[in-house]
Amino acid sequence: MRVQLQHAYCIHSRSYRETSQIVEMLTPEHGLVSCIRRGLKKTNGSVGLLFSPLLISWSGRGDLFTLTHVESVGAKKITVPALYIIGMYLNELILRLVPKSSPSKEVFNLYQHIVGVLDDGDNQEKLLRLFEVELLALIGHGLSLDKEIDHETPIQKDCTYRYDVGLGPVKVMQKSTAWNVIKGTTLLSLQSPLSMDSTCLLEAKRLMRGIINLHLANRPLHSREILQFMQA
Amino acid sequence: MSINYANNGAQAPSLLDSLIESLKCLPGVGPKSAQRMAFHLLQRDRDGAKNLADALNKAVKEIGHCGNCRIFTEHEFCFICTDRSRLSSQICIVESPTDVFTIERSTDYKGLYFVLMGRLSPLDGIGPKELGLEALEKRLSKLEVKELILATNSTVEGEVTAHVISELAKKYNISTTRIAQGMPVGGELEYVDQNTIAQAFSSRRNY
Repeated sequence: MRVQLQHAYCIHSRSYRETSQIVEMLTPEHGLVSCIRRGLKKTNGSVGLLFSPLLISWSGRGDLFTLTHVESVGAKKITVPALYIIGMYLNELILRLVPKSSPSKEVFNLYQHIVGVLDDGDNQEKLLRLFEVELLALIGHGLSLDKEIDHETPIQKDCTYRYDVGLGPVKVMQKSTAWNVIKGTTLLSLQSPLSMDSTCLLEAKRLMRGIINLHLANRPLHSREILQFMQA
Repeated sequence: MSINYANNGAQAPSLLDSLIESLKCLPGVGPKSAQRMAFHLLQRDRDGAKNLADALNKAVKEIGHCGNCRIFTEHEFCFICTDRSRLSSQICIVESPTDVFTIERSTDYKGLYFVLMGRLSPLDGIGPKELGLEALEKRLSKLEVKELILATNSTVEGEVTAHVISELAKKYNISTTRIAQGMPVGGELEYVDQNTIAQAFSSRRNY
């Protein structure tokens, strides 16, 4: 198989032998693609790939292809080192949640959009929630945010709900500190995370963390550990 | 015509086979180079081979990490940390022990070091614990450090590592500096990649 000049973002790269790298590329038409990038020290080994819009070509068969061409087609989208960790969190989610080689223009566009606006302003928390909600929806684990578990009863702002992953919200009478017990107003505002207030953001963060943990079978996200270390 | 002993277990004596196999653990050494090295040592330089074996044995047994900066040494503390003429108010953070020797060879830096033995790379499972950031924090809390020089590589992972350490330094009111990034010495604009030029422009200085 030979694929020419596809738009891509590098999600992860790791050294392989002396002068090669194994890179995971997110593409719109071929999904996540693993490629081997050879001869780094001889050519442009110093060029960082992460967070830069790329045009790539690859060839080969099986699960690991050979990257035959890579060029940057724009400036790096994330330029502030403090935001690299957030970018790595996005990358870790993509790598751990998105199935390999399942083409999705929507996932590519979502990643491109979020990476492109992370540098602007200070609404990174909201952008992360937006990314998490949209990504889960795109890979078939969408959340039910406006209707109860019966798909009919609308969520009410002032009520409290227990979110059962895979099923939906169930109204509960008692308040609780459990990660999946959440106010109706937070559930509703998760439909448009960019306009969330700070109280909802905290609850939404707890809920999304719990849901993502379940989808990752409770294996920890290492980028989250780094963020927690910084906050300690 | 040469016979590839490494790939021919039936004909090759097992000791020779295992020597060739062992030499392949060196970086850049494949089966052919390993075979050539083994033959050279056995045919032409048996004394050299003995010395190499002794040195390797001794090094593996005795060389550990410096209790302060974590570079390789057979003593409790390395030659840099025990040198009293060096400034203990400056600590340079690097990713690997080879970086220490590169800086020592190329600059007149007279402070101390801390070697991370890697860089933060969440997707490879390398977090703050694996880099010994807790040991660094202990060192920062004990010593009177005035400047932390962040000399991690100019990769995304290197930048993240530098950023996390700079946040750590803030807790102890220690100033941090980052090694400069941009145009390589002797480089021409035409041949430099976009990201490097962008970096060079954003960190331009008065001239």
